[in-house]
Formats: sequence, C-alpha cells, structure tokens
Amino acid sequence: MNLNSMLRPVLRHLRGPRRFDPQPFHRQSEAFRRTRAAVQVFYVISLIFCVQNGHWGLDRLSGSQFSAVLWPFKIFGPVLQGWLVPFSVYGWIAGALGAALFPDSRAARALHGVAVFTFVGLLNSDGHFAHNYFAFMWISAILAFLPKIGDVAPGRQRRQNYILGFWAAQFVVCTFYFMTGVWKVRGVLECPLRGIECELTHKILTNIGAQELIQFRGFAPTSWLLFDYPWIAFVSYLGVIGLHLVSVHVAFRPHWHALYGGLRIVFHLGTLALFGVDFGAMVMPVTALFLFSPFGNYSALPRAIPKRSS
Amino acid sequence: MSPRPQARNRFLKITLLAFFFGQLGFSMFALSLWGTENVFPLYTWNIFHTRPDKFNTRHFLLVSRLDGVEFKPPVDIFDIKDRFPGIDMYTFAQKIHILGQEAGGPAARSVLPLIHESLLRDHKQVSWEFAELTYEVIGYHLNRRVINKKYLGRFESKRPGGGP
Repeated sequence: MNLNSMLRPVLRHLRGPRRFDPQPFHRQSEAFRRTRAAVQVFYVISLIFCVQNGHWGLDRLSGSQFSAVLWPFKIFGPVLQGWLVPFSVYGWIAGALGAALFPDSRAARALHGVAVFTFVGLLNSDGHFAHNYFAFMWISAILAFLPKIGDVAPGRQRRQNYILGFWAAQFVVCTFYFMTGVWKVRGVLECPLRGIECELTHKILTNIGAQELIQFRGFAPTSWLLFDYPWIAFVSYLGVIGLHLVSVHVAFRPHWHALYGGLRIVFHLGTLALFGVDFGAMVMPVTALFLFSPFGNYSALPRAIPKRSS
Repeated sequence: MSPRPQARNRFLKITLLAFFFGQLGFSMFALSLWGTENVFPLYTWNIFHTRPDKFNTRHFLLVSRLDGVEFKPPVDIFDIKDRFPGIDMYTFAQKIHILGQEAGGPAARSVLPLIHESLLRDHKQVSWEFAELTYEVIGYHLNRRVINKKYLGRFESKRPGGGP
C-alpha cells in the first residue's frame, strides 16, 4: 500500500464528491483570471497596510535593542538597524507597489516577500512573537513563487499551477487557524489527564478577557459584554473554536471561502472590541484571500487540468 | 520535458501535507525536544504559552505581604495569583483592583487602572475571600526591562519560553 492509496480516502472526504463540469476550460480560464486579480488585490492591501503602519514599524524597530536576534539576521550584526530596518519597511512598500502595478513581476513579488520576512524577523528579534504577521509572511513567500506569466496566453498547465499556488497560500493560512483550534481543544483535554481544574466553564472567555486586561492594560470598548453576559461569551467562544477546527476543511470547500473569510473578520474584530487585541495584520490577508476568493463566487477551484476530449 | 500534470499536483499535495503535519508535529513536540517553540519562521499553535512579549508586559507589584503570605518584591501579579488557587481570573482581577484602590495614592495606580468599569460594577456584592487581607503596596513597575534594570538578577522566571 503506497502513500497515495493511504491518503486517497482522506483526500476524497476533504474535497467532497466530484461533480460533472460541463465547461471545464471556461471554468479554469475564469478561475485563472480571478486568481490574478486576487493576487493583485493582495498586494494592494499589503501596500495600504504597510503605508499605514510603516512609521510605527520604523519607530519600533529603530528603538529596538534586538536582544534576541533570530538566526537569519545574526550574520548581519551591526547593520541590523542601519540598513535592514529601513529596508524591511521601504522594501515592503516598494515591493507591494511594484507587485500591485505589475503582479506578474516575480522580482517585485520576491522583493515584497524578502522585505516582509525581514520585517517580521526583526520584529521578533526583540523577544516578541508577532504571530499575527505570520500569515502575511507566508503568503508573500508562496506568492513569490507563482509561475511566470508571459505575454503569450499561458497554457492549461501554467494556469493550473498559478491557481494552485494561490490556493496553497489559502491552505497555509487555514492550517494556522486550525492549529490554534487544536491548541484550545488540547488545553481542554489536558485537564482530566493532568488532574487539573478544567477551565472550560461558562466564564472561560470572561476569565481570558480579565487576564488580557490585567496583562496589557488595554482599553476594549465592549469588554463589558464579557462580564455582563458570560454565557453569550461562552457560546461565542465555542463557535470560534469550531471555526478554527473547520479551517482546513474549508480550504477544500471553495464555495465556503467568502463566508469563512467574513466570519474570520468578525472574529478578529471581536477580539479588538472585547479584548483590545488588534489582529489587523490577519484581517488584511484574510480579506484578500477568502472574502474575495477567486473560487468562492463564480467557480469552484478547478481540481484538475481540463483535458481535451479526443 | 515538463512534468506530467498529475505529478505536479502530487508534488503540491505532498508538500502541503508535509508542511501541515510538520508544523503540527513541531508545535506539539518542539518544546519538549528543544525547549522552545519559537523557531522562526515556523508558526506555532501553542503560541500563547510561550510568547515572550507576554512576559515583557507583565505587571510586577512591590507587594511584601498579602493575606498573611510573605512575598519578596517585586513580584509578578500572576505569581500572586498562583498563591491563591481556586479563584478564577475574573474574580482575581476584581479583587486585586479593589486592593489597589483601597491602598490609595500611588498604589491605586499600581493595579489595573484601565480595567473596564464593568469589571468592577458589582464588586460591592462580591463576598470577598480576601476580606481580611493585609498588604503593603510600595510601588509598581510595568515593564520587565525596567525591572531588570533595577533589580537585575534578583529573580528568574520559572516559565518556559522567555521572560525574566
């Protein structure tokens, strides 16, 4: 029994029943066109995000002591602040602008990917762990490897590779959310195993909110909801865990992408309103990848390269 | 010769599966194997347990005595919490805020001034397990770096993943 036959039942379950497609060529062409537009949207959003937050990044990184420099930047030593910090911000802006104008330019996409990687790495080189930037970083890295689209209309193979490259970015983001959900479930399952008092009570989100407010002293405009209505908070918390857990499944269900993206954005805005925790860096890529998913509205993700009938 | 379409799909499939299970496995076992989960650029699911910036923004109170329990200030607010198991974080937040308010002066600012008012709305009706608490609050610090500068080497964190 080889790997493929072992995985086949799982993958079949994930991708759902096959449907007869009366217009496979048209569907692939349309999905390709929309994917190219979505890639452009991602870079436009990235540009807006960096222009808006660039000054914050520069201020923060320029004043950083880089107390725990991460491995990719250790060789740079003293040039960290003098050269790498401005490169990370201005490179991000330049790369995003270039890729937004010329989404087929691999150089621009690569510049964007390297700059975002540098920015996130430097941000985390000071004992921090800016996990909300990881989606940006991985998406940028994957999109940098999208196949080259020349002046001549690309063939079916290249179109399919382009589509699947974009879908790979969607899948990776879904795995991040899935892992977050698994962590929460694992935390609950650990309680009886370790003999500790389980936190899964109706005030669990209320307690988390209290801890966040203690720890960060942040202001959250609607945090009173957590404390006045802990049962509503509890139910919504279970809903969020469920949303996390279906993430990987959703990656294989293109017609759920837009709904999933919308719920994700509601979730992130909820953390902002209830805890004062800002996940703007996650909202942006989720908007580009899922809310405007090229496979969500019109056509499902083509599962195979269409074949000409003989 | 370009690879067959099926081969390309299989390559992507295997790559993504390897990414998924690799990340998942790494997140599950990295802490026990290498003592850290913060291996850039991998994402980790257990992020909230080991996120070092949590420890950068911890609250250290200069409390020397609380409910008969002696502390050696500065003491992390969550270490205080650990000494009083059995109450949830929500109740603890209410109680510690009241304690700070009762202390007056700088101590009132020392604990949770920005906790939302609603958190404290019904504090009068709470039956305090801490009613008989006696304590001394002699100052406060917010940032680990400030603490490290002032009390360098005075204390070490028992928690994994960073922190003082």
